[in-house]
Amino acid sequence: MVVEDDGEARAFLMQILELEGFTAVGFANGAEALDYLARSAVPRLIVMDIRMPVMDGRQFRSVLLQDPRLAKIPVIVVTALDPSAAAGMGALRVLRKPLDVNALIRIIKQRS
Amino acid sequence: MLDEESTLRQESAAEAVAALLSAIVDSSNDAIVSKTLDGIVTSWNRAAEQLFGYTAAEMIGQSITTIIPPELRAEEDYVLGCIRRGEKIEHFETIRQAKDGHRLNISLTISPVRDSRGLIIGASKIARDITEKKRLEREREELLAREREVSQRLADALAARDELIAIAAHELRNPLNVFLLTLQLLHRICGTAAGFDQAQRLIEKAHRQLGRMTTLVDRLLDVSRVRSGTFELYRERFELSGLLMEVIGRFTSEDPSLEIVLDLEPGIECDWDRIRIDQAVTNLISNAVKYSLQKPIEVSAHISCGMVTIAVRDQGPGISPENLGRIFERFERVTEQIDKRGLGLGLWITRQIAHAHGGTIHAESEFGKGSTFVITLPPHI
Repeated sequence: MVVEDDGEARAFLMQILELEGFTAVGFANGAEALDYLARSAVPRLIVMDIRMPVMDGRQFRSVLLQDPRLAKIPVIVVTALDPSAAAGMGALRVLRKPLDVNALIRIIKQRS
Repeated sequence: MLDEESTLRQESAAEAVAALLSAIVDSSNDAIVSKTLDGIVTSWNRAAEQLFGYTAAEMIGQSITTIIPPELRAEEDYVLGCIRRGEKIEHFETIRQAKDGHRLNISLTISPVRDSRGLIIGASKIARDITEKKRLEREREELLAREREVSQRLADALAARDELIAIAAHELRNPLNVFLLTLQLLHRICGTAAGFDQAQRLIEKAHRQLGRMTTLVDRLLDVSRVRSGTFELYRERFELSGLLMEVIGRFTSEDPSLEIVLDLEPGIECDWDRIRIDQAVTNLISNAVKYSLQKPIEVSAHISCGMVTIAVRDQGPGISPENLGRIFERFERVTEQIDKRGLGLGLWITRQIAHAHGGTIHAESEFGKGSTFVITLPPHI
């Protein structure tokens, strides 16, 4: 699952992940992602931005952690902010923008 | 005989001591006066004459309140109260008034005077002029206050600069992110048949991202130029409607569905910095497109009473009165719902451009009904 408000960034990342053999779903903010998670199977991993409208990454992560079913999904934060902005989110990794997709894919494959 | 001689000698010695004490008092640089428990002056030395301007003859027998400003007369009751209790008052800083009306800052030491039986019969006062000392203290306070103000302004300026750097770094990372993703995707799809068509579109998008980053960098440089006073104009003569058509053409070629209604008076000849005016109008139209909610935008240009007005109107959500006052300030973004990207410098730079051309910019808006931004410039600077 890719949660990123920049439409192009989200679309390109999803396409790259699919070219690498993953199945990707994408949402523009935490609220839309939660809506999907309520009615669908949990994804293997969530790649999320922090600054997003409607529901930002921190709020989204906080909701995930309150649900035992969603809390165990590993999360990778991809942010333009200083990595310290992800402190307390319990992310598997924090990656900075501009994103090195190869690094992201290596992390995902290591989790498999 | 012997008793008489002894008494005479004692009296003579006492007189000598009294004369010596009197001379000491009279030669002192501090004003030394004495008064009764009712505040009536009983002695007044030479220094008191010089300090207060009253002679001993004028003051002896008069109330000490003669030299106390009216609003401070209650002090005398306090002083006499202490004296009657046998208390000494030291380094009491207060204000006295001289014969010519001018006021002095003085430091008083007041002591009870006792007779041979030990009864308190009056008070002695030593007054030191501290007017100059007070003046220097005030001057020092003023200098310190000014220094604090300057330090605060410097701290604020440094904080603003740091904030700009932080915002810029953050804002540049987002388009860089898309740019790099584009290249990484291009790299993966090159060589595939399906990838070829997409490749062209991706390259166009990457080109736009570069343009966006260039704009951000230019805005940062403009801020720096304005602050350092090197924001200069390169003037050239051109016809305004031609420039506006060029700017509008860039928007409509990028998005053919964009509807821009034109009301351009032909033949307006200007002597302006063409690139900067292009930048200003591009910024206004860009904002209008962002906030127009797909509704048509109007761009107009007219000349009237020797001034050229360029107006850009959108039919978006409008701007509330409290925000209208600050939208031209740096880093202000009135973008609650729509798009939080950008440095918040666009309108600030547009205003700098208008001012540099000897003109003005203002915004009119009704919350919920759209906004109009109007640049007013003299055709020649």
